[in-house]
Amino acid sequence: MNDFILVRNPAACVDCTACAGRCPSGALRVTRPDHVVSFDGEACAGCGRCVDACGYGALGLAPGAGRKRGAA
Amino acid sequence: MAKTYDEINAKIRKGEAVVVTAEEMIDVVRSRGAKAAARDVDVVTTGTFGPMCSSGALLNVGHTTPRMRIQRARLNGVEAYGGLAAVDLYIGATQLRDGDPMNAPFPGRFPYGGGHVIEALVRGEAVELAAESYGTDCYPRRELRRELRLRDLPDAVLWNPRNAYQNYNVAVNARGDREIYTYLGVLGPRLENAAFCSAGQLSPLLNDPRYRTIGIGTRVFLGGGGGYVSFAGTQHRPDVPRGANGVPTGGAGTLMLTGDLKGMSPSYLRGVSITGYGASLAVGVGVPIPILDEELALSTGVSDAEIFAPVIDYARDYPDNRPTPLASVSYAELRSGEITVAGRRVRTAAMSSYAKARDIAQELKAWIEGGRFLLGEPVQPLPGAPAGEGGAR
Repeated sequence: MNDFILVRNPAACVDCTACAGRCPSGALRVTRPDHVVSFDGEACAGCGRCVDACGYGALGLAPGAGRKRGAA
Repeated sequence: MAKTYDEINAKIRKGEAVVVTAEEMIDVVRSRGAKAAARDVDVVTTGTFGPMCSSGALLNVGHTTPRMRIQRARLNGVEAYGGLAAVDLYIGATQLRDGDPMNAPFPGRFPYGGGHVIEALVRGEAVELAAESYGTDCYPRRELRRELRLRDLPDAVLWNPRNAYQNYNVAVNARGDREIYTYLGVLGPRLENAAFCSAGQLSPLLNDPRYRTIGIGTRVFLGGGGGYVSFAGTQHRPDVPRGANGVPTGGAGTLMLTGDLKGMSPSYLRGVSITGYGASLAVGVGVPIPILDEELALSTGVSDAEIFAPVIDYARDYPDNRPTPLASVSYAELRSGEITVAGRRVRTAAMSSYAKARDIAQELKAWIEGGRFLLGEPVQPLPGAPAGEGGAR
């Protein structure tokens, strides 16, 4: 269990895929051939590395109070 | 037989031009051959979308009563250069908001800069102008604070000194022992990941590698609206190593692009906050390439597997300005998600959006097919273009 959950703003995302390149758990992945990013909340570790990678404000961490790991 | 711009534009006006994207052209050339592709296809559209730091907007904010000769100005707290007559301002994409702590503490977040101001304007949002002046007899006003929107500005021009880089580095952290924060993103130590920023087979200048058709006066898709190549971009370097297909194997040509900001869209102009590095502006660019002859059919049929980029260490080699390539990798490998560097599998990710590049190429294709966009024949070739009439043969 982790203390944070990932909050996504799909409207802000440009599908550059930088976040997927930093995700250690595979929760953020590039789907091909569309080259867009998909998110698996169950696999998310709440580490926040993706938030650092996103330049468009499409990702953020919110307190998860140790509840379910990851969220869309 | 070679085609001309006039012939192709005549077909566009009649709605008869055959237009494909650079991605689609790969299959056309493979299946039909370059000669038939040159006969059958009139225009190939290209696209790219990513942070282009050497970008900005030239704004005329209009005269006040009484008049003012603006000396210093800020838009939403971001300094805009005022040394351009009375009421012309230039806001650069990477200029930070006053009071931004930058990299203290490290890594900084850079939440707001010139690129964000430009996006706000294009979204139609109100932006606060704060200006001051020493005052003159003919321009007596010394202070000004008001809201402005893009629609109210007499003039607003996106004027980007360096866009659409023809190829670029692939960044890794090979020699560092901690995470580093660069304009290509966060790079983990010991080749943990690699970052690149190019649309590869969709990229404008990689489809016209020797600048035969892209020159001064070329009409382009810029930020969702129309624009032009106004000059060679800064750092335009045509004399670089190239593959047998003429495609540069590292950074080479660039474009200076200009267009009416009022016709642009926030879908293709986005402020960017690069952790640990700074603010920027992501720009969508699309360039149509007329298929005048077989050589241009061949060059626009280039695929990611045939375009190579240098892998450079950004921990020490790049900062020390001695960027010796660690490897050369193709864009097919980069887009697969993994490359091999020094015998090690390295995960890859892009700073540019291939999905948006594809959207741009498709949208430009629709504009041309709909007769809404004619090709602009260059009035002057870019440096490095072959000698001849505008590069066309």
